[in-house]
Amino acid sequence: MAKLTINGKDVEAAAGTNLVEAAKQVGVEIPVFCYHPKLSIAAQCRMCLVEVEKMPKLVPACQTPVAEGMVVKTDSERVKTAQAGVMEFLLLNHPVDCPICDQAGECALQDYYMVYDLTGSRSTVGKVHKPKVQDIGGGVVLDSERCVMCSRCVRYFDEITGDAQMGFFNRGDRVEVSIFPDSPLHGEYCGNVVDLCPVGALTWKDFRFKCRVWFLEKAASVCPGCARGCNVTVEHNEGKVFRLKPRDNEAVNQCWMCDEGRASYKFVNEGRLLDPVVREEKKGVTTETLSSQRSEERKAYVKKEEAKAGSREPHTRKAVVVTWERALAVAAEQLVKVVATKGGAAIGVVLSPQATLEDNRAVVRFAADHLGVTAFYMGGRLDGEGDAFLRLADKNPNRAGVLAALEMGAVARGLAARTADDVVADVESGKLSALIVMGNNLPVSPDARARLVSAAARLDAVIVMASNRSELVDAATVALPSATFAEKEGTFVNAMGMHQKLRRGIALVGRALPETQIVQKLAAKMGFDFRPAREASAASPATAAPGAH
Amino acid sequence: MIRVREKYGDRMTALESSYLTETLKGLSITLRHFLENTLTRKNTVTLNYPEEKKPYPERFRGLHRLMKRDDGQVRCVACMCCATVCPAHCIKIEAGEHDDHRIEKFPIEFSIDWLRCVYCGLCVDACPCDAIRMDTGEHPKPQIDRNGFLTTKIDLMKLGGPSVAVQGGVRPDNGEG
Amino acid sequence: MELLLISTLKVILVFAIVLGALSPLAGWAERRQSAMIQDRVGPNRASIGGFRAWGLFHPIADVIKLMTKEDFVPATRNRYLHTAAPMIAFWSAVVTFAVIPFGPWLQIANLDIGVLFIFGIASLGVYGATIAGWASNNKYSLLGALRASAMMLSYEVTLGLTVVGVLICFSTVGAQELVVAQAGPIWNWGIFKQPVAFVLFFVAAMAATKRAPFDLPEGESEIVAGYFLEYSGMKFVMFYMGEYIEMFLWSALATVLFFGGWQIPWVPFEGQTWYEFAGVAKFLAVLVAIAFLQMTVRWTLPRFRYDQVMDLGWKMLLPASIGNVVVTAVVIIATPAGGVLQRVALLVGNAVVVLVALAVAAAMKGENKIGVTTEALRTQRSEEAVH
Repeated sequence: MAKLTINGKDVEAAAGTNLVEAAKQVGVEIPVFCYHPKLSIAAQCRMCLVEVEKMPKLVPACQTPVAEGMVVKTDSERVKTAQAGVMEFLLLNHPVDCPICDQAGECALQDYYMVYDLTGSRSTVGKVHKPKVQDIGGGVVLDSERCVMCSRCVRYFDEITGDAQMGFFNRGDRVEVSIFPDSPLHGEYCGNVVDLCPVGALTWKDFRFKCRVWFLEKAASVCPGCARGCNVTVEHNEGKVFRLKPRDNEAVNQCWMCDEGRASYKFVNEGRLLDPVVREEKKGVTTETLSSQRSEERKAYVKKEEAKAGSREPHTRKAVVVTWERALAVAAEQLVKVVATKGGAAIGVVLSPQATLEDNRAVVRFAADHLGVTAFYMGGRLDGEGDAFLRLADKNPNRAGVLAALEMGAVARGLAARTADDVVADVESGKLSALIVMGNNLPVSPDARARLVSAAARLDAVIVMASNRSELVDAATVALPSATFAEKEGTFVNAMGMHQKLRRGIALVGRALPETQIVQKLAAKMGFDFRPAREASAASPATAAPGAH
Repeated sequence: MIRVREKYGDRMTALESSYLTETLKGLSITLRHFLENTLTRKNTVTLNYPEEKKPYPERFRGLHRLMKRDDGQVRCVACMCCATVCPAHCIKIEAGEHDDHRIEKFPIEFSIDWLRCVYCGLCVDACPCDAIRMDTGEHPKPQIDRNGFLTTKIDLMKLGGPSVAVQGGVRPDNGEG
Repeated sequence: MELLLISTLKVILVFAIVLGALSPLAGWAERRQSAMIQDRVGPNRASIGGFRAWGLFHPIADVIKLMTKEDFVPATRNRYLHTAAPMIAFWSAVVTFAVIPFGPWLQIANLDIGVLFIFGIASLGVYGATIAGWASNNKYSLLGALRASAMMLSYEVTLGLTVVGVLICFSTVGAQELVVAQAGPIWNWGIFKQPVAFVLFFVAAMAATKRAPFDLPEGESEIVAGYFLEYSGMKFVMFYMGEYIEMFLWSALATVLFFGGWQIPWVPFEGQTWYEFAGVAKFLAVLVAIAFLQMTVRWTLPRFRYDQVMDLGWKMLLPASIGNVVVTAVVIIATPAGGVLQRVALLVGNAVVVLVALAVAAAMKGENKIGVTTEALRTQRSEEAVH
């Protein structure tokens, strides 16, 4: 430990700590461009120059470790002059095209200009121009003019992913950061350089021109992409998610995130199941009035559903957008009928590792305690690729959560989750005559999925709680719109068994509801006294007589 | 000591309460106005609107217009500064990638809801490109439904003219220095 | 047969004047006049082929609108009386024109009891208002009807008594005879014999037409539209037209009683043809002038309060008109008929009536509605304040 003073404040820091980090401890901000705690020290932007007593020249704070008795000044005239000088150099050839720059609003150059510079240009010669709008691959767009030559991106590929992909080319005021010739960015972690870039030189193609960053609202959440459960911020505006950004968590993802994860918000905005849909068995059944929020899109959807249902089934099954009240009544009626005639064992429940721990727990308790279900299956998404850094093969953020929910709700009866392939087998063998499915689809092969869909037509009830449209949703007798991770609070349990909280970002899309609420409403419709949030009742499961209603 | 003036009950004198003289007084006023206005329109303040118009104040801004580049393209680069500063949230801009890399970003759609607009002019002050101006001196025409007031980029550009401002607009070729 | 033809012709002519010209134009005149008085321009938009004619086409547009308008009736109305009421109001106003002598020849029926006939029929108009208010089954309508009937009954008395003075002067009740009696120099006109009676008649006639400032039966601010609240379309028009026709009726009667009817001063009628036309023109000119005065009053005075209307009617107009009848009768008996002395005495008598009326009004000034003087009230209040 070393004791020193920064701007007159006493600081105690571990040996080896640099002055930037030490100053942070006492709330002193030292401006940096090239310094990043996860990267090696370059000390080439010179923005962090500070004055240390008994040292003849200003020293870069990022490169200077703390020492006993050090007296550091970050706000002296010499330091201010140096900072203003560095800013002037950086801005000498900067195009100042903030109006068309995506970084505007979260740009270090903009922020520091307001604090450390705030003067006009003294230059009387033209600016040096470099190529703009270069697609350098990996979903990254490079604008060489805006670059401040901090080399964070270069060091990132050198040190973090381990495959050098970028470098500096040319010299003097012609220097440019770029990729190697004929070698676009590749790998699964290119997006991190966009986060690292302190200015607008590297921007994310997917987010490009979509929204100005100052419009974005932020919600701390967890990435739904894989079982790693990287901590992310859901950045959204007006009911639409625009991007996911990594959130610091040393135990999970440090400050990184994979490109796959960055794209995992898209299903929140697109292809959503917006209304409860009921497939009526009988011909000429009264068509429920469409919801008050009827839109052309939904009308078209219903029309398509009807056409599909007509082609698939010899007897007319009409897909009708209905009220929640109606949808729950139909679902309750179908379930009661199955329980009364065939018992709870004839019902299969597919749990979803895409849903939260709370949602799964609610479904397990409802099914096991009130319907007498014994057959639980693991839903979610099929496994994909994994690697040694962040990505895991299990593309479900909450598999451990599903298992935990099963233990809490049904372990007393010795229940376990079986695979999704078992669902197909059990449906085809006739063991199951009703399905309650959480999630948009089942993690089975396309062939098995098709077999399930055709077999599902013979079931008495297929109740699907899904956030997005899919062939399974189309095959459901009752499709209930559920909320995605961005629209609800809850917990994901990652592969390491860590419970991580999700915070609600956007408002519920369409008429979707969290599964917990759906189950609660369904149970109320069936006349059960069901409170999913109570932990106490989970400890003493009370079994209701099947078919009591 | 508060002095109270009693006003109850005896407001009118006997002559007044006969209404005779007072009515004649009133009649003289109304008849005078009638004759003056019939003969000379002396006191008439009403304007026959479509034919006669009241001149607007000099500083009246009027409707917005979108300025154009030399080649007739919109100057706006969809920086959203106007939409951000707008207190009425009446500006909707959808940004897009321009084919010309020197322009890079442009508004695919730029609409102003003239019903919502409060004509404060902050968008003009915020604009870094001299792309939006409020100097037409016109006001929105009446419409039969709300959508009629939702004015698109094309209509706004019809009101606009070329602007010669340099900042944020045209820039020299890449690498030419 | 010839008589029938001529009578029909007269009826058509009189109705053309009253219904075809006077009433529609009155609506236009009133709107333009009010605009001028209020420093506005007034209606000028209706045009035929771009020709606006100072808004003269507005009455035509109004008629088209009102005729094509839905006749909206309340479900709980009394079906027959609700329909009959506007007819009564309209009929009573129109029929009275039968005895008005527009000219020496242009009079539909020269009844011996002409003036009495007018009063008899016109007073039936109150049934129109009352029945309309009751049959509409609406509390506002009923209140309006009550106000209308109370006010019209009150002022009908004054109206009748003011006319009595004139009738005493001319010793006849026939309308045509009254006009004939006013031939010769202008001071033979009723107004120079009965000026006070004319003022009283004018005020009472305004009340009888229920026009501002006596329009409290329809008082928009408190009872919406009064007795014709539940009427629309042509039924409403019948009330509306009835009101205008009544205005012209009293103007015509005033012309007959006080302004020599169709007689042109100093020019005796000896059967000349041109005189017949000139007389009608003079009659109509005076009639329109009085109507114009009534309209001007409407745009000058605010509406009376109910108690003010009753005060004015019973405490001012009625005593004055009774006094006028007494004084006139005494003067007519005491002085030789038709002499200068009689004329002067009548004017002096009128002046006496005015002075006495004002003196009485001054004496009653301190008294409020329930008969407690403000002086007593003030004393009582200051005593309360002491305690």
